[in-house]
Amino acid sequence: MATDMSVTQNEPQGAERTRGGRVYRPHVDILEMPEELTLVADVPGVKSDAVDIDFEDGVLTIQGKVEPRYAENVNFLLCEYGIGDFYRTFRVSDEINAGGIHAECADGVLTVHLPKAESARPRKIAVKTAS
Amino acid sequence: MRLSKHNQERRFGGFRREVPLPSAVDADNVEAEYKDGVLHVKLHKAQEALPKRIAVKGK
Repeated sequence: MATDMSVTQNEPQGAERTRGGRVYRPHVDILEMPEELTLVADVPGVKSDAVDIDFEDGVLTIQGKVEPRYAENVNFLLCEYGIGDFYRTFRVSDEINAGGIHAECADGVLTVHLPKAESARPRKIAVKTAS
Repeated sequence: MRLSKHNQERRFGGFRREVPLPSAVDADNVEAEYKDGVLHVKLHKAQEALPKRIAVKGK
């Protein structure tokens, strides 16, 4: 039986302009594993040391900073891809062990591991046989 | 929008793309770099595609 371990998105969709440039909402997969929820986000161009993950008051915030890729005043023959930082927040229920949250970022893919709290983990109950 | 725990937004698969080039390039001088999920390919313009400065001779 699944517990109600929901993750809710907080902020509106689409790219937003801030004073630092464009900010994009990354595409995210969330997988339920036996011991954790795994959140996977596409953040191309983000170096692993440019990722910020915060968890406060039940809200998980992922942020990735992207460095400018081109010199200013470049003459584009084709420009399909918007460059900007990534930002997204999620409301996470209480059944997460906040102290155990950890993450890695490689090849533009950010993976956040949200370990389930002890009370939310699947448990095997040993059945004793009467001797 | 509420995300279920089996939320799936990312697409999975390989990438392939052909891009017509606007000018001749030096095929023996192509540089490529892949970093953090971003591929950069630098195609140097062929000699005949480079802008030329025409010297005007005086009398």
